[in-house]
Amino acid sequence: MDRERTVEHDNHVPSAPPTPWLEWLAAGVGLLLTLGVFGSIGWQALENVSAPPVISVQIEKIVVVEGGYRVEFRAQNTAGSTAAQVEIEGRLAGEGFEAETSRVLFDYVPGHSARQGGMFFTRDPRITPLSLRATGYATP
Amino acid sequence: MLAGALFLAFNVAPTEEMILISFQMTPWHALALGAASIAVLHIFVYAIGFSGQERLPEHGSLGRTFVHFTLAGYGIALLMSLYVLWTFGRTDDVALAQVAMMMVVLGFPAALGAATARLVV
Repeated sequence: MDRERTVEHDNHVPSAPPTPWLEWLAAGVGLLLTLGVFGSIGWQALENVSAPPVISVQIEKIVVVEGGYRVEFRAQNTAGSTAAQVEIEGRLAGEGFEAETSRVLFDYVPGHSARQGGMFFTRDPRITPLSLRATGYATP
Repeated sequence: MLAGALFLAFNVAPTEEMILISFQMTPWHALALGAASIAVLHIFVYAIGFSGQERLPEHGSLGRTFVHFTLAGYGIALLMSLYVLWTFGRTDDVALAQVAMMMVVLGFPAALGAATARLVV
């Protein structure tokens, strides 16, 4: 084998078969993807975005359902690190009745990411002041 | 390699631990894990000497082989990880950098699977 190859080289016969374009494509995609992923993580590492979680809650929709009202919300973690066991508390406090409290627990809210959830109330949250907030988290 | 990556990644992706690992890792850990995955993929296929080991292509230098086969293989593993994560809804509403971390974590078993498939098939 080796001898043959040397002979080929000596005769200046092009020894390498042309690389198929599919191989180039696969190599290119692999290289780009690897660089992209590593770049994105590297940027994260250099920017040091691991500030403790900050979770804000926005109400998205209030829908009338059987037996009450459903409040759909979105909990957004605006900081870099992930929060685990995030409890969202919704409190409906009006005049003339006892305050109604509902709670939802998210397993994880990753950094710079959001999770969606819903809560049920028996009174109408559109006419009674409703406050939603994250009460706490644990580091994962 | 695709089948091998899918085979291993699909088994572990539904578990919560995969994303938990990515949440607990710092970006530096993720970079190290990614480098380790690439090294394992290359070493399994070309260096250790398992039966069925690929021979380095005669006309290619080490660097060329690395880019053309190992990085292409790792690319497949990453794509597979992304696909599986997306299938199980792990990427919904999640920041790009976090998805990249998850891809690298899942890319490790996927790369192992890809390397194994390369040896077996």
